Amino acid sequence: MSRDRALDTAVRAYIADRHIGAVVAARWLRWSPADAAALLDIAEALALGSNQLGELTEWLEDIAARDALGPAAVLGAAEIRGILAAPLGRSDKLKRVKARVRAVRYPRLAALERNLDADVRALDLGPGVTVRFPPGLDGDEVTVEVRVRRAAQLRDAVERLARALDAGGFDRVFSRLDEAT
Amino acid sequence: MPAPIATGAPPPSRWRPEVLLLERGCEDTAVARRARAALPDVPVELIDDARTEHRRPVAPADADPFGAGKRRLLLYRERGRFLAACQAGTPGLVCCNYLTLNLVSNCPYDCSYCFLQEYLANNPTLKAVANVDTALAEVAAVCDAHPERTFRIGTGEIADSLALEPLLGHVRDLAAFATARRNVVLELKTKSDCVDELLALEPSERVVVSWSLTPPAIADREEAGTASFAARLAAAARCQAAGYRVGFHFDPLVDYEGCEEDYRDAVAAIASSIDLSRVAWLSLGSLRATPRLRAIVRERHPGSRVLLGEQVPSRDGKWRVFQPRRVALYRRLAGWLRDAAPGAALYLCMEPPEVWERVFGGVAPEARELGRILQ
Repeated sequence: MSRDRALDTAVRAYIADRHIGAVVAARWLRWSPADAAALLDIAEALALGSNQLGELTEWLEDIAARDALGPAAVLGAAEIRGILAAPLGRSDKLKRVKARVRAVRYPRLAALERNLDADVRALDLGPGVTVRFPPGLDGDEVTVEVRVRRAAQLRDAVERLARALDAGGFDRVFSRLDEAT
Repeated sequence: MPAPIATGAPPPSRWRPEVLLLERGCEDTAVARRARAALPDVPVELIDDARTEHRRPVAPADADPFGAGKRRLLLYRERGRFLAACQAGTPGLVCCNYLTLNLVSNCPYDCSYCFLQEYLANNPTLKAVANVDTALAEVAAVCDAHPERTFRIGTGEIADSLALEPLLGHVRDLAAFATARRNVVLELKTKSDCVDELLALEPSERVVVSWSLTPPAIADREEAGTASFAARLAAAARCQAAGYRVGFHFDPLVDYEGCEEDYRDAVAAIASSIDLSRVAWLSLGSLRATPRLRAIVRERHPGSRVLLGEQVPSRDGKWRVFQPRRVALYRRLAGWLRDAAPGAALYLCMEPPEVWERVFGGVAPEARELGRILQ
């Protein structure tokens, strides 16, 4: 059996075993052997189901069409190989691999999210204060949540928030959220 | 990958259906007579009831029934209502109080991103009404009952307002209707250059001819069968020279590498051939698509690049380029348009108030206020 034929058989077996949907299966089966093999590696390592494969393959095809960077190149990147080799549970690996591919598919959005996270960390609001942004950054409303169990904790959180406001830290956050060039 | 389906459509002025379906009773209408005269070599089929015909599938599901439907022109008598509120009036989005008059349903063009692919997915024909008089009677009843209000009415919601004019001749009646009423502004929205019928009429301030524009890079690749960017602009210039008010819609606004330069060039091209101080309105609307439409685009137009931007689900369930990026693009384009056309009415289509506020400053207008601005 040739290598390509063996790969095709393995992909088809995975599709059958995991009940992968027809659209996703068709997409995978028309990929080049190198791309299909790279996906099979990831799929087997992370036991990907139909929905997860659907999202991943769509992102990978979009990246290939837009950036001329094929699935094998994206999935073979050192960062993804590192995640797969790391001593992490399956769901942690899956989460990180998806985040990595998403960052390639959505470079501006991912960079903005990273910068906003860094801005929030720099506010030094302490463990009781959480700053959340709307999903997909769809809106200009920021949620600031304060969770405390004692008055002293509340006092500390309020003081930290006031310091961050006075220092212009929140202005930086809102300014960054305003537009992505 | 399979080849895209939507390629090689003939130029708009030469669009021909493969068959002309006439509902019995419409044979002697002006619309039917005109279509038959314009299509002497196209086979004609008489059908008893358009409603029955409309339930009959024309192609198996795997053979692009939507595309097949575009090649069958049905002239029929509409028994229902013609006038509707624009679908852009979705809760949570800023609305401009627009009414749509549906005389044609479906479109001879095949834009990769077109929402009709989902909205009219199973329609077996491209339908055009033969009883325009009934439609105008309905509109008259509404407009005449509220003389204090001005009604902005467009025929380009689920159709191209002008693409079929060489065959149908609807605009003569429409323009006469709008011209005769002080409280009606009629918008004819198109991606065609089919303006000869319009230019044969006496222009009216109450008729606005508007073009949906994307840069040539998008128009050439994604808008099969439509007039080129240059041809649309030339048609707009002819209409303006004849005395019509014209408008432009950058909708859908598509985000891609190099898009900002392309849009800036497009604005410059408009400014060089149109007197923008006399433009009726300009609008911007980011590409938006339901998950179902996105799947259809991928299936029917595998070579399309419109979904390659950084689109994410919005609160109304449609996918758009993520908001901070949209705001950045709107600001650039609005800035170029403001520079080129300082006094023109400029608005956003299907955007929530916070996007309006971030693009234009101030508070987003209410629907009635926006409608008034655009009159």
